[in-house]
Amino acid sequence: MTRPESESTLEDYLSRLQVQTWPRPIEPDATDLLDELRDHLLCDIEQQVTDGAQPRSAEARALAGFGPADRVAGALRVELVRPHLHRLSLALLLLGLAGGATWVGVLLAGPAEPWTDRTEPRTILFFDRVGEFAGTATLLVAALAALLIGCTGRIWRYPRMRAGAQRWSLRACWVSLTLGLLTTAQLGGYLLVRGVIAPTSLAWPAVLATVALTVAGAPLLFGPLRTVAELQTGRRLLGPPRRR
Amino acid sequence: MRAEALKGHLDALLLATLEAGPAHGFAVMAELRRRTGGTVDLESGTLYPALRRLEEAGLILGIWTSGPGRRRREYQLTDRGRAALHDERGVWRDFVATIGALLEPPAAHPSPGSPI
Repeated sequence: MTRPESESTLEDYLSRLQVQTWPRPIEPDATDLLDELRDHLLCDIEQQVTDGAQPRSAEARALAGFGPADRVAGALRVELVRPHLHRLSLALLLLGLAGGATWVGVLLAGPAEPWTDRTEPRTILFFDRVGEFAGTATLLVAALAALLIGCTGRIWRYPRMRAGAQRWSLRACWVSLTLGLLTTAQLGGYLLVRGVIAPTSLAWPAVLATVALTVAGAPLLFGPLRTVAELQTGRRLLGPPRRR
Repeated sequence: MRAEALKGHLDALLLATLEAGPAHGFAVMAELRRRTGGTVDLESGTLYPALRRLEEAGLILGIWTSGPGRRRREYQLTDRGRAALHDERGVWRDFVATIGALLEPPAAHPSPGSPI
């Protein structure tokens, strides 16, 4: 069976679908799914032509029957975002744990606190407590996000619950990320006040090792974060928009 | 029958369609139409998010094969998928029995006091 004459229409449709589904080409995933959709559409066209339809009208009917590209893209993005959201929640949890542990190590390696429990300045005490709370909350909320997105596979037969779990997992990831940034800022301020990152501190090797670990771990977090944000918004972030 | 009416049932219908054996997306859709006498009228694009969901849940397995001059992805039920389909059937039978008992017109029972 020969391919339809106006294959450009089919390719235009797939191209629109690709742009609206993946704000940037993501992994071989995009190619695989597009190949699958192309196969479906070509099967449909071939079937209609075999049944006596003209190739052009067969193609038009196949595309109409497939659904508008923006709607199909929206439904696909909801499914495509799930594994990336799972990865993001796990990255938040693991990096939170690892980051917390290493910075505690830096504190232990640094100079002793220049105050006692009684003489600790109120401002420092306040930020100390805020940091403890934000750090713990970062991990708990990230764990909740991972749990929610992790259960979506098990509750596949309840579409509303599954969609709800995915929505709440995404929110929890944003909250965890915000709390994580707050904790990091608080920790930076605390280390400065404590003199841990002062020029004369003995904790510099530990600080540098921790900073290096943090920089190395950042792609684990920002990769899925960017993908999730782009699949959620349908827009390419950090870069020029793709040409249609 | 439109997509709205099938919400919550599409995944089970897809599992049932794949019960007979592996099939690619177009064949799944064609089989769905054939077995429902054409009453299920879904946009084909809705099929792929659902297949992806089922695959992610471990209920079906997608395998690349070669079609007529192009790649083709076929799906088959996994053991978990068969068990899930079995459960779905049980749930559906209970649902039909319960709702049917209420919605079906009552059989002509003699009312109390009526002449026999």
